[in-house]
Amino acid sequence: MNLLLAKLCLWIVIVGPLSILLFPKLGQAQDAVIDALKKQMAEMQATMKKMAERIEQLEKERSADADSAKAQQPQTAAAAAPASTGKGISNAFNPAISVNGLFSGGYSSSPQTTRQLTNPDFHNGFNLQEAEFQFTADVDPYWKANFILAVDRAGNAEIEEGYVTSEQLPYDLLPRDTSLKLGKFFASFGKHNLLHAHQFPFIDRPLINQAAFGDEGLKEPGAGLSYLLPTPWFSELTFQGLAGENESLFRTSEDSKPRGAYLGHWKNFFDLSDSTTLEFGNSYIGGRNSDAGHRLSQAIGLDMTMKWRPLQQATEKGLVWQNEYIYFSRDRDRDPSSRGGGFYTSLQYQFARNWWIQGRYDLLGVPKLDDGRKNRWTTLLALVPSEFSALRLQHSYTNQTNGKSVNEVLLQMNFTIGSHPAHQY
Amino acid sequence: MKFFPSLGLGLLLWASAALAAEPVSIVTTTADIAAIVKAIGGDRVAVESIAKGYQDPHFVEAKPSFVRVVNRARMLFNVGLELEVGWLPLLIQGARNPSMTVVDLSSGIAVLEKPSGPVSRAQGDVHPLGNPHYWLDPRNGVIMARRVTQELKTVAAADAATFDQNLKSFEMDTTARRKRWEEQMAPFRGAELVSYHKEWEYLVNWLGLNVVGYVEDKPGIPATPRHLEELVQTMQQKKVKALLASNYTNPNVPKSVAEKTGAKLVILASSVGGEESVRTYGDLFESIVGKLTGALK
Repeated sequence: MNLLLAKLCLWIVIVGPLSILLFPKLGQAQDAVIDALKKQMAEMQATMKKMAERIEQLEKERSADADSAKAQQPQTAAAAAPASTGKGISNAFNPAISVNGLFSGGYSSSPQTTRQLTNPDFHNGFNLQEAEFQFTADVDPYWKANFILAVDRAGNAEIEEGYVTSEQLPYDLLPRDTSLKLGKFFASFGKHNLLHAHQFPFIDRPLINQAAFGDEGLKEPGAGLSYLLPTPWFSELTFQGLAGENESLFRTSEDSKPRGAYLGHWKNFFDLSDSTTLEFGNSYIGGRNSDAGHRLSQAIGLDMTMKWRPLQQATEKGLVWQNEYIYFSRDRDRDPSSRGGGFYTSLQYQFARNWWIQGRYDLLGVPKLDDGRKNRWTTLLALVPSEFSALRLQHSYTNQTNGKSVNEVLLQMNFTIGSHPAHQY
Repeated sequence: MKFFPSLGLGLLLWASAALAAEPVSIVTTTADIAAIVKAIGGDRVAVESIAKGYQDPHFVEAKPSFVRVVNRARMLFNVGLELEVGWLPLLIQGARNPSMTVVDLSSGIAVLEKPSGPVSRAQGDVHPLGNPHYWLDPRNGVIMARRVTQELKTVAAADAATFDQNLKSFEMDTTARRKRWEEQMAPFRGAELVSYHKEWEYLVNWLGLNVVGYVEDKPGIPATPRHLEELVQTMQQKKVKALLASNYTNPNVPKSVAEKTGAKLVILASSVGGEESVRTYGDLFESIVGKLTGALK
């Protein structure tokens, strides 16, 4: 019963503010929004009142139950549970819900430079970086749905990802070893692009991801097929047809028409031993941009990741060495085309049960971008009390050919509540 | 360097697929289930376990190479009760193998420690469905073996008689040995001991032992100094003779607690393959009972 109540409260807490946040985007006039809010508040009050009454009633029933059968405690608890769903309300089919919170504080020797480099919203001091609400459930025997809503510190809500996946369709429409993905999702380009902000190994994105795909990452509405090759090692081919909405690579503004893009990704994975693994990936995306002449925008990516984690000390020791190179170009008819490349190499070492120490080196400008070359050195120390929370302290030093050198110190609290999420490798 | 043998193995598997009487390929989440499947299926099954016996089954990583293993399996057996919740869903989804049957062996088990009140992560790694370490009671092993037999028949009906025969000898062997283990442990009924993690509940429940404390403050959460101080006091007062820990536990903290109290630190294999000599489900209890009787003497 308490679990059900907790879920109801969570729904009210989530759906209430979210609908408030979404209304200004959907609605036209300010008045309509206020009216809707008032109505909603009234509805919420009514619901709360009903819930309070229900709780009171249930508590009465329960204490009566407890008096009559004190010896059979587990049975009493089990009997009380169906009572709360007695009116035909079942939460068995509700999606699994989890919420990630990112709260951070930062100091930069030049906030202006930090805004240009990694985080357009940066200011010295504390702020709620982002909250992410994740909903997952099976739609039916064929589809599994996943929604991730992100709310930024300005209160803007956005469907960061919303998609369905399938491994099986009626009439065997989907061949064996193939999976289908439809919706809006992070495009399968390289390694870092697939991560949500709370999964980032460092507090900010690598410079090259920022330069190539912007501060939202490469996420696109589209459809994708991915196929497991019949090789003796893990090898997966992915093709995605995407809208081509990314403003860094394809569009000039939100109003310009997306012209479609295609993506290919090939991932290979090897076990070097029980504790060591090696992964190689190649990625390509290409499509027409919305600049004059509608010429081609393209990006290629190479990634290599090596991981080590001794099985017998799986919670205490670990090492991740990750490298990624991206080259991108945006051809234009009149203005000069923009192109460039860069890479990062990062090392994450878990030296004790609750501690990680990490370093990353970023080089933007191989080959050179329009605004020259940037070097960035980042170190990070993380205290990880459990798999649901982490406190991270990061320092970065950046020097660049065109622009100021900058020192940044960031502190971040990263936490997850709700359903236990499985961990991507 | 292990890549090349695995490549060879891959080719071998591919070649064997061409033969008519190929064994059914089965994947299990833990080595204990694999041992039981092997005992029932014999050479009619090719079984592979994802978790190694010397590894904590809560913290297996969802490596893509396991996706490949699950992709090729006809049937997957798992422990259930959310033991594998952190990694199995990703493997099943990544495997793109909808024709595979997933069998949760926890149905039919009398689950211990099902929380009757509300649960919260403030209590540490609580399992809302109950304690999942149920294979550590040989009576549950027999229940698991019966279910395995029943399920194997659905993918290899022609071998049903063999499976029944194997089940019969597994049951007889396990039961006979269980009685012997019970006799060996009979003098220690009611003995008080301390364990590192809440993973020996089924074992102590079966043998009538009494766990009076845990080194971990809360399941999965390392102990605070204050908790350890209290634990040491309790152990000294009650003259606790043994402290149980699994062989994937970091022995430093339990070792210092044992030294302070004079209790013996007993490091047990909690799964088949946890020690090199533990190759079958029966071996697991031979090893555990042998060490317990040694420590409690």
